[in-house]
Amino acid sequence: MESLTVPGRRRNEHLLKRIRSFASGVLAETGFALVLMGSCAAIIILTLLAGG
Amino acid sequence: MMLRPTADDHRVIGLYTGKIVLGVGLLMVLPLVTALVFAEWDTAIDFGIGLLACFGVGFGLQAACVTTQELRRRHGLVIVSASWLLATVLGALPFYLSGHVSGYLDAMFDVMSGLTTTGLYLVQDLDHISNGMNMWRFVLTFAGGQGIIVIALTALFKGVGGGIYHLYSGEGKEDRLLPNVVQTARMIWVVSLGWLALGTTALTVSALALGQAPARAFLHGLWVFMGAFSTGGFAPQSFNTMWYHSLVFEVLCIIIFVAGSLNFAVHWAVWTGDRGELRRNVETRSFAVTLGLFALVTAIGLARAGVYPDALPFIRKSFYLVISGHTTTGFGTVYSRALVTQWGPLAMLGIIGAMVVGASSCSTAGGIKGIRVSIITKTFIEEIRRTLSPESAVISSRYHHLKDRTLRDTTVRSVMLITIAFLTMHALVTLAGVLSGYPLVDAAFDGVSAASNTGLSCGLVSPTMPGALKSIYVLAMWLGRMEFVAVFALFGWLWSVVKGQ
Repeated sequence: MESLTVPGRRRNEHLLKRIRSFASGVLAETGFALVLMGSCAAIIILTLLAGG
Repeated sequence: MMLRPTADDHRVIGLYTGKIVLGVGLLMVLPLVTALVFAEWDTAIDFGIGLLACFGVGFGLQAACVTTQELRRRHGLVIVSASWLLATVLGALPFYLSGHVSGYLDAMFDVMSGLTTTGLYLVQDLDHISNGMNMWRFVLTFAGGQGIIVIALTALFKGVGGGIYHLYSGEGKEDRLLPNVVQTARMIWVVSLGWLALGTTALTVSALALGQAPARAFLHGLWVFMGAFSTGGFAPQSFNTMWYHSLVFEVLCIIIFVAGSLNFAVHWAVWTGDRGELRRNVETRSFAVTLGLFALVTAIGLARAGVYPDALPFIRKSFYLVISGHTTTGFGTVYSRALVTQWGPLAMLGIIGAMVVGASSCSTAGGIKGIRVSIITKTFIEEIRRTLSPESAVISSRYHHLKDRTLRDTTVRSVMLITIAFLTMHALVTLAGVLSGYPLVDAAFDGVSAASNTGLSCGLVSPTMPGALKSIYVLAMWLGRMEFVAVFALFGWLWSVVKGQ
């Protein structure tokens, strides 16, 4: 019985690890895009404040 | 001395081109099913005919070109170019049959634009084309973003030898995520499909919140995702993403097209736990710097033009267009002609600069690419350091792209060649626009947009533009996406057939 369940558990753990890795990757990339957006907006605001 | 290709060489090219054309035919199943689901019978017939044409050519080439000859580099590059050209000719068939284009050239223009993730279009009455036809536009742009060779490698090329790498690299992708190129192609799809699931869900929810019916919201979510992640720029409505009038939708689009503009190898590094790669990679750094620079130029231009007196629309419109241009996506939230009549030349120059540079190599994006801009910049700095240092000093530069690398002369040479080719192409496409009677700024904007596979337009691209200019834009989109080498290899191959010994 145990020989059947252990590989199953390993497979689940592996899948969970992959999903976690995917989620953290997407979050990191989203963060990168938001930082870019923020910096871009900041430059535009500063230009606007400086009167172009 | 140029060697004339043997019959076996032609067979290798025919065999693999046939396989790839078959892959393009399989892609037509998606719009065909969409047309059937929405009871669009005419569209279904158009795609049935297109599918039969692809299968006929694909199976015909494979049957006529049986060979045991190994696939070599020179074959690989020719196959890539020939496949893209054949895919454009055959993929245009449903467009032409739909009656929404004024001729076969216009249909080919739209297919090349989709495959190369450019986003310029000549299809007429876009707001009323069938769901099946719209699905084809987005399947083309999504498949083109990953690369039609990548699709073929994923599904059709099992157990082929090392020569297959030349097919993969011919499509403008050089970084391998994994040692095996077929596994690399599959990983590209893992990244793309992962983002597809997440991005489509987010955009669908956003479209539902805007009041769209569930089926319509899903289709818009899916299509806009495909247009954004492939940095394609196609949108289901003629007003592009301005049609949604939603800040949330725009922010989601920016996140998706920035993700799409990242090198697939960087995605893979981040997804496998190395999140620092985003910060260290020379391309992401270069992208951040040039984005700031072009945002500044555009903002100064817009402030001087005085188009948006209120701060929020000023920021929202300008940064959306700069990021869209820089990632070579081509999504817009302003009317095309407003760029000329309201934004003015300086703001347009900021966007043109962003389009010329483009985003990351081995991504869905076009343009010169950040890594080349970084290498050229580092070479300049190295030369200045060399001039200022004693003659005996050893000067070298390093950069980080997936690993720490030393800048070598051979790398600089290849980077310079491609960059010069890109700049020359931008100049020639602009010249073609001016010779066709368009003002310089308009010709430069739309010409660079086509050649860098961006898709933003200031109104020059339309069904009424001269046929010769349409053909030049088709060639420019093809050259830009292939990064010249594969297209030149095809021309060289044809030349060697005529003049070889």
